[in-house]
Amino acid sequence: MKILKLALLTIAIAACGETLPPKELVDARAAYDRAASGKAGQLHPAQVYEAKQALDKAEAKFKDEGDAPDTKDLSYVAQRKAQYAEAMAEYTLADQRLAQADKDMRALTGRALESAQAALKKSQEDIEKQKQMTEAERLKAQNAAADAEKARLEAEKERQARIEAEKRMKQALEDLAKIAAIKEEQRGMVITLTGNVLFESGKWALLPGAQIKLNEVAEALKMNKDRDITIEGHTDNQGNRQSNVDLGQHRAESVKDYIVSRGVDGSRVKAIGIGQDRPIADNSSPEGRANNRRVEIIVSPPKEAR
Amino acid sequence: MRNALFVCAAACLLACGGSYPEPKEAAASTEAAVRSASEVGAEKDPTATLHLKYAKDQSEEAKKLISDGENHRAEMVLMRAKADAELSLMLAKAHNEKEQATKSEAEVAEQRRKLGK
Repeated sequence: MKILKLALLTIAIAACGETLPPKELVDARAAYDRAASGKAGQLHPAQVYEAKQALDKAEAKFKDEGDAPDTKDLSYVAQRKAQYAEAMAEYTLADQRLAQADKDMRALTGRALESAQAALKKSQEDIEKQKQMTEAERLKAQNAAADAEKARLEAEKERQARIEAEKRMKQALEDLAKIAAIKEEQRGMVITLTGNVLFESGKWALLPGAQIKLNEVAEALKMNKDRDITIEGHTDNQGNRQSNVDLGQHRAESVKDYIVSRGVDGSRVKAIGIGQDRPIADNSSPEGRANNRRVEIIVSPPKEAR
Repeated sequence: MRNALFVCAAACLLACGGSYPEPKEAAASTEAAVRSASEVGAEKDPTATLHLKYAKDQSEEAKKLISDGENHRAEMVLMRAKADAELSLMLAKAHNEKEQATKSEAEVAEQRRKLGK
């Protein structure tokens, strides 16, 4: 036991004889170890190596001069260099984060841009559709206006034509009134032509002079295209009743054939033999019988007036 | 003759002691490092600010040593000052970069949130 105590005392004395490293050197060693084993060692080996060189200088100085001021200064610098390497590693890590964030942002911006472009394209398509619709509507409105104008012009034309026709009709009636009796009745306008002027007695062939008169009548009738025409052949009471009906029928047809030949539409003309049944004068006198021998052309009222 | 030798030896000793050159280059580079750290914005980070203060204090101490003729000590102190200034600069840069990265990451998160809608 005494020997052990002696040995420990000898070691302690020997230890006291060796100079302890200054705090700066201890700190520098620790800083270097931390830097070399940490991120700085991986990311910035050159910087860590520089710290190592600085630490080696401090160690050498310590070996030569112990804890002299220069040893402390060099240790201080070595510690700072190790810390510098660590700070640099932190900077690099932050820089990597920043680069990654920038990359992510570029990718996201690209996506946002694509999305915006798609939205823009859709908007443009919508606008184009709207434009086309508007154009179609404009054309439709333009066509409707053109149609309305056309209809107005046609109506005006018709009105003018009607006025003109009425004027011509009036003139024709005035001319007709010179050769025939004209009167308005419930059944329409009745144009009465004396039988003596149109036919020889008991016959139905038209006299040459009759044709001139019927030309006037035909012109007037052609102006009233929408009206039906009835031609009635009337006689006096001389002779057989049936033969008078037949004579009336033949005469009505003669007149019909002639006016149709002059351009009146035959489909709207009807010929009827009345004979002696509807006298307009007394058959007892020659004047009365002459008045009863007649052809009546009845022009029906306009269709809308019926 | 003995006197002359003594004077000569004394002059040599004086010359040797005072011949250590003034660390002008070290002073200039330290000053530049301090300026760089200040310009980068070391005051935004407490640790960087602390090391910048050390650098400035040691620069002042070095100036005093130079005026006292202790050029070697001055050079060593300037070495410390420069190491502190450089560390301050790097700490400030790391701080700025971290701040920028955090801001960018937040912007990315916000953009993701917007696009995710």
